[in-house]
Amino acid sequence: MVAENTAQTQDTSHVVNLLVKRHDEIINLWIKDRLESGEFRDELIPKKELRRQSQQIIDMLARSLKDSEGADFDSASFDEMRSFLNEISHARAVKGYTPLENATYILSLRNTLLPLLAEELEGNAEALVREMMTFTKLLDKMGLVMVENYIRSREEIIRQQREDMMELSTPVIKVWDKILTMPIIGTLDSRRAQLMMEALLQKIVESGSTIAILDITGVKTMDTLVANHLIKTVTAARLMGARCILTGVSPAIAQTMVQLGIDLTQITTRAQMADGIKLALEMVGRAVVSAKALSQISSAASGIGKTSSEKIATKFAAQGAAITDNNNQREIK
Amino acid sequence: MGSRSIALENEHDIIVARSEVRLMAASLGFRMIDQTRLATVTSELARNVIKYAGRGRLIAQPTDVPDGRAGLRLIFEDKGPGIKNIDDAMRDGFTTGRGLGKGLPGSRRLVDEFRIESEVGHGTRVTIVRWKT
Amino acid sequence: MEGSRIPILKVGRVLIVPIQVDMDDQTVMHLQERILSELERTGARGVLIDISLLEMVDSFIGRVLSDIAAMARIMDARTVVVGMQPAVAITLVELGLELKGVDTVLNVDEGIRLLRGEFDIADEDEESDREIAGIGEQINRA
Repeated sequence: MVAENTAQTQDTSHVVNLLVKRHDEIINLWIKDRLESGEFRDELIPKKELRRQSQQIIDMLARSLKDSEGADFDSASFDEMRSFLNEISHARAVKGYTPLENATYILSLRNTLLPLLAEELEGNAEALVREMMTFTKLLDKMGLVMVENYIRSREEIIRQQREDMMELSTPVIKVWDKILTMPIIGTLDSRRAQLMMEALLQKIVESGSTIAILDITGVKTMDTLVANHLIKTVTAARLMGARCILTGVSPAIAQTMVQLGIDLTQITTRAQMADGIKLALEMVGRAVVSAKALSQISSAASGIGKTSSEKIATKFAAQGAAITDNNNQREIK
Repeated sequence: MGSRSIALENEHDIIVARSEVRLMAASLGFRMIDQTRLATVTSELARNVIKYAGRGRLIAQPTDVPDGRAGLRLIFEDKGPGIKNIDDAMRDGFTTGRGLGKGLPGSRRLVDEFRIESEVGHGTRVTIVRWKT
Repeated sequence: MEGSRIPILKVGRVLIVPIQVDMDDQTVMHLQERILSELERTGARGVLIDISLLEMVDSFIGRVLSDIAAMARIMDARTVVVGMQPAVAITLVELGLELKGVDTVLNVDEGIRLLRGEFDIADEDEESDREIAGIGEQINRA
């Protein structure tokens, strides 16, 4: 082991010297190579930024190689380099570079450096081969790190987008005091159903709603897993002290649910969401009545005469008409 | 984070076990609902250990699969009397009411993987895994 | 858990039990005894158990809650459990626990509504009478 290490210590010493001695030349050649390759996309990263990144990499490379004393990329002396590579590959992933472009950037350093190394070590074939091998191995590792990070970044972005989409696609809306409605649209998979359940239950607590209307008008098909999540949601809400009303059950889904053996006697259902809302209002002790009826009831209760109550009914009607007129006028404008 | 071993010697250890598990799950990044599932299943299975074997231990192992999924494995071990008929035990439930039964089917529904090994006179080991979503 | 005792308060003819800590089995059993003994001592007609701070309800606690409800009923008192957290509800469903005999409500407001007679506060009929009177006044001014 010891013998190998000493051999390795010398394996990169020429590379290190080169990086320091011909620092600017290497950076310029590298950048030139990138720009000429046609792979570099000017619109995504400005040239100034490319120069800055390339300079940083060369500087870090020289430092790390010197500090590492021949240890490979996994060692702590390359931590700084590794985190810088993570940074730039994430930035490129966000900007929309392909993984190939990402890795090529690093690997292309080989094309720049090796000819220069050959110049330096002319006549010392053995040292040249040794250093080339070590350096190439290092660059490969760095290229792989770039690809790996890139992929991880993209997956994180996709995951985040998926979550955003899920949240947007199942809003929980307050219909009235203590009444929520959740219109469910689109295909339901197990994960989405799970997230919806949690979102609804959380909203129930936050809004103090005792009734939740689940509308599945927009759900085309239902399988066992999703049906189970639905049952779980209804049961959990019940346990918490809230009631669920299921609306918009199509004949097809009704059939599926019966076939799946779901006990529909446990769930309150209505054909239309509007019916569900009416029922919910009744459950919280509210009724929807016309203004005329209301004024008649109130006048009877508070003892005003019939003529007066008719006047009041007319006034309510007039108020209603005025509001509608107002809206119409605004629309015409 | 490495494995942790928690002694289950008395009733009070049930509560120790479930708070330890919740803490571990939280620091592993499990969502709140999964932390609760893990704490609950720990309570159930730790209580079984105390109730049926008198004492045992819980080994909590953070775990990784090659495809990068992180999870938590919990192993409940005891050297108690063992379970005579595992199939029966896996079938009984709270519906039979009054506190009898080990509540295993319920516990199984809280986790992703569930394994039970038991030998009469030797002891029982229940291993569960919950993956991070 | 000996040190932290769970308080049992009395408002009107209702016992209010706010559970604020994760309870070990002994504390749970002891709480059951204390509730029943308070019911007997005070003749309360309702028990409101607030579990909004409880992050976990397992089969043991679930069973005790059912037992408390059953025993309270024998003593002519109604038990209401308040404020179950969503994660707890989901876990209970997955465990297959029903909490038989226990009335569960969303929050203390709903709990009071359920036990209103026992709290000696105005009930819903009085409220709607007030609403009608209010509308009548509006109409009169119009």
